[in-house]
Amino acid sequence: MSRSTSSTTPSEEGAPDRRGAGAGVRALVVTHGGLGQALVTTAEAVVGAHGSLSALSNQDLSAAGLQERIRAWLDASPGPALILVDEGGGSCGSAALLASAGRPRTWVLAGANIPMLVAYLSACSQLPAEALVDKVLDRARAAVKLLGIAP
Amino acid sequence: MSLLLARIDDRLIHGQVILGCCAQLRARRLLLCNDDVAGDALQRRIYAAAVPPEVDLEILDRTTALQRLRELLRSGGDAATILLVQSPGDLLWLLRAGVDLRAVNLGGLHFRAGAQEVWPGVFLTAQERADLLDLLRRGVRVTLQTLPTAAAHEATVAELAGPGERP
Repeated sequence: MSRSTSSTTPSEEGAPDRRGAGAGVRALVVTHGGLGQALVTTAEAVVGAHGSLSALSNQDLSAAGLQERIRAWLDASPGPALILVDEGGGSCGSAALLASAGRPRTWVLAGANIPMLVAYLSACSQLPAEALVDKVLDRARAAVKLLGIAP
Repeated sequence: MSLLLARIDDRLIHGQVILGCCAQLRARRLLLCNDDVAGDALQRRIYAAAVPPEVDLEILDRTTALQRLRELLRSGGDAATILLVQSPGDLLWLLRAGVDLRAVNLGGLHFRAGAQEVWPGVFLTAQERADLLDLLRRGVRVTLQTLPTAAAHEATVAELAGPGERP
C-alpha cells in the first residue's frame, strides 16, 4: 500500500499551510476483481501518479478479511482518507463502512469511476479534505450522462 | 420446511445475495441469522441499507432465528424466505435444534487464515469442513453455487472426508 505523501514542496514555502486539511489526503479504491487497479492505472495515466492512491480487490476475501485489509491501510498512515468503492450495497461498501467506523476524517464514497479518481488526483494536494470530497462527488455525478443517441 | 433458499455466505448481504438470489428468486424476506451482526447496531444498519424496500430484512441471533423459522413454517411464510448464515456451523445448529433443512446453498466461503481451498475459490477451516460433513451425513444436499443461474456443483462426503474417514 502506498503511504500518503506530503503535498508541501520547497516552492510552496510561505504559502498557506494546507496540511491537516487537504494536503496528503490518501485514497483507496476498493472493488470487485481487478476493477479498482484498472481504474487507478487509467486515472494515473491521464493525470499522473501521485503516490497516495491505492487499489484493493475483494477477490477471494471474506468480509472479515476485506475489513482487515482496509483497516491495515488506514492504520498505515494517520490523516484524512477517502475510500472509494464500486457499489454501496456490496461487500466492498459494507467492509469499508465497518472498517472505517469511528475513524475521524475518513469518507466512504460509492460509485468509483475514472472521473472521480482524476478529480482526486488533480486536487488532492490543493484542497482541504472536505472540499476534496465535494469535488470528487460533483465530478462523479456530472460524469454520468447521456452523451448522444445514435441516429 | 420449504425455504426459498438456505445460503452460506461469509460476505453476508452483498450484491450476489441481493441482486442475484433475492431478485432472481423473488424473495420477500431475508432472514440473516448471525449472533455477531444481531448484536451490533452498526453492522445491522450497514447491512439493512443494502436491502431494497421490497424485501423484508430480519437480522436475528440463532435462538431468535430458530423461533422465527418455526413461526414462518406455521404461517407458510417460509416459502418466500431466504435464510442467510455466515458459516456451516450456524445451519448445523439450526438443524440440530429441529429446523428441517433439506438443501443448502454454499454461496461463498473465501480465504481466511487457517482455511484451505477445497473447491476453486471455496476455502474451509477444519471446523467448517467437519460441519459440512455433518450436514451431508444428515442427508442435507450441499450445492456450491454463487448465483441461482450459475453453474452448480453438489458437494459429496468423499470430497470432504479425510483419508481413513468413513465415506
